Amino acid sequence: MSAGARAKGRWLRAYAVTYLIFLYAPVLLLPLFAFNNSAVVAFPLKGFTTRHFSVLWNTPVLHEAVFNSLYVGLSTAMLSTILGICAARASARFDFPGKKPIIGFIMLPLVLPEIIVAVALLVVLVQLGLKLSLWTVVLGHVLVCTPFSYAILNSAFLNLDRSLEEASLDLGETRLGTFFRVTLPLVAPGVIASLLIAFTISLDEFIIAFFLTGTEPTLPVYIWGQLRFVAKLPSVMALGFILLILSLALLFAAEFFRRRSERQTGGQGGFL
Amino acid sequence: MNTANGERRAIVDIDRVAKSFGDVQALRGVSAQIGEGEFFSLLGPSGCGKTTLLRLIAGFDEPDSGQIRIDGQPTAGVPANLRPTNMVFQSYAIFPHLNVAQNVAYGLRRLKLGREETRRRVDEALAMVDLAGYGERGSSALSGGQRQRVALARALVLRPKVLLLDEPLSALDKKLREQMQVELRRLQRAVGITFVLVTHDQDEALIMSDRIAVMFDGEIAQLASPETLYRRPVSRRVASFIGVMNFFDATVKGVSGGKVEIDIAGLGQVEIPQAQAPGGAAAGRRGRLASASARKC
Ligand SMILES: Nc1ncnc2c1ncn2[C@@H]1O[C@H](COP(=O)(O)OP(=O)(O)O)[C@@H](O)[C@H]1O
Ligand SMILES: [Mg+2]
Repeated sequence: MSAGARAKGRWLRAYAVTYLIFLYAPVLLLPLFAFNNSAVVAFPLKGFTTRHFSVLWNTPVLHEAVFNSLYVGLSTAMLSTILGICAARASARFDFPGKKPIIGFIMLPLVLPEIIVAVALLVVLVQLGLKLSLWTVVLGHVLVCTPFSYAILNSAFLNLDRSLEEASLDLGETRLGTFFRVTLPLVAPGVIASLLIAFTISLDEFIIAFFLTGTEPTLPVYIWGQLRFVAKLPSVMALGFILLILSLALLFAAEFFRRRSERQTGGQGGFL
Repeated sequence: MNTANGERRAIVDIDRVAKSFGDVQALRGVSAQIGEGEFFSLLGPSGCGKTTLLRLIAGFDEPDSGQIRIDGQPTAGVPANLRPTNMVFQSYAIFPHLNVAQNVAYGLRRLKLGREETRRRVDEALAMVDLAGYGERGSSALSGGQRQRVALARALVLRPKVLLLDEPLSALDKKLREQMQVELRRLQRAVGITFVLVTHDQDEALIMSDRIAVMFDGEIAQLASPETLYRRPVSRRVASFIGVMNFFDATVKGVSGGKVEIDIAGLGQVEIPQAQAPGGAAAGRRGRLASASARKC
């Protein structure tokens, strides 16, 4: 390696480190202020406390928001995974007219600005005369989560050796029986990964939830509401910290299952 | 013609079957009758349509034209799960999420035999392929040879009318392959089920089969016993595919009393029985004589 290339490598590393610090420093502030014994979020730190967490424990409205988010998250995870299974199975096994554009439309919400999706959905729902509720939020979330479910499940289905399904048919099992006895067990890790990812995305999604929610706020919408009150900031930090840990745990679990799915079906390549 | 197999009833009747994939004509009107209890091989170079024909018999694909009868029944429109055939896949297709016994028992579930009977038949099938006591093994812990035996047991336990084997030995090393050739033949004799074996290995086909269909480019070039194929290949292409051969350029001098007298360049005059001469031998014709054992007389 020439001296020039070495210097270039050094600069690149410095750039990457700086970039990562800017990216993650705010996240690191969360635990700092979550445990900081002070009513204001500001330096210098004032010592250790867990009282911001007990405030959370004593706020019933917050618990309702948590329940709403779980409700929306679980429903979204189930629905987008079921839709993802159907789409992935179809596109991995069959060629049909219009396959490319159809898959394109499934993936489109991934690149559409969420605010546009949210406003468009709101207009349609109002025009249809539907009342906004948790289910309208679920609808919006399914729209943005299905591309992720599809992407994960598609690779699971593509990695699945086709002769396994043929062997099952050959041994006398019906198509439906084959799906439940061979296909589904083999893509199960992919299904679990899809459930976890969709749940995580739904849990912290704000814009769509904000537009489509009725009188029942999800957790991010509730947190946004609290930001107006300076006194609530430390407890919001505490809440944020809990959510951060939870999301990370969910993502690691999802990645674990996704890798297992790859090992089981013999594929390779990374997603996260 | 020495391809007749008069004493055997046809269990698979392939009648002018053609199949194309887009522009590729994989099969161009193939006809053959496979006898009950026969060890039948489809032999040919890679890409000649062997697997395609096997998949048509199994029911994974439907022919574009022509028909296949199994045990007298037309198969058009009958899905793979309702055909009395079972297949040993080239990749073996062992279910990775099931153990050995569960793999073997897979197809028995539909028969609703009850726990004891199922168990008995699984044990019997495993013993038949020398895997007694392997039932609780995970399928990922098996060697190539063992996977192949599990695939065999899984198919044979259902007592199919026809067992289809797609290059079952090609993934094994030479020593194991030779051992399995003998074993497969013994197994076929023991169970009396019709075996249809796909292979591109001429020695394998010659050693194991009752009859062999040699295929090139989606057509059967010759269908005969190993002996006949070896001694009397119908064309130079078949001959060179079957194995080491001597080719002689020869001119027919005369035909008389069941003997053909030919003049081989560099060897002189030779008399051969008419039965061994290529069809249509007449005085003055020039041709090539292929022989594994040419004697000067
Ligand atoms: N599903 C398929 N789609 C397209 N072409 C195919 C398909 N299956 C087989 N072919 C083609 O048909 C021809 C015969 O294939 P195959 O029956 O697999 O040959 P073999 O088993 O003798 O090697 C080949 O040219 C192959 O490329
Ligand atoms: Mg093949």
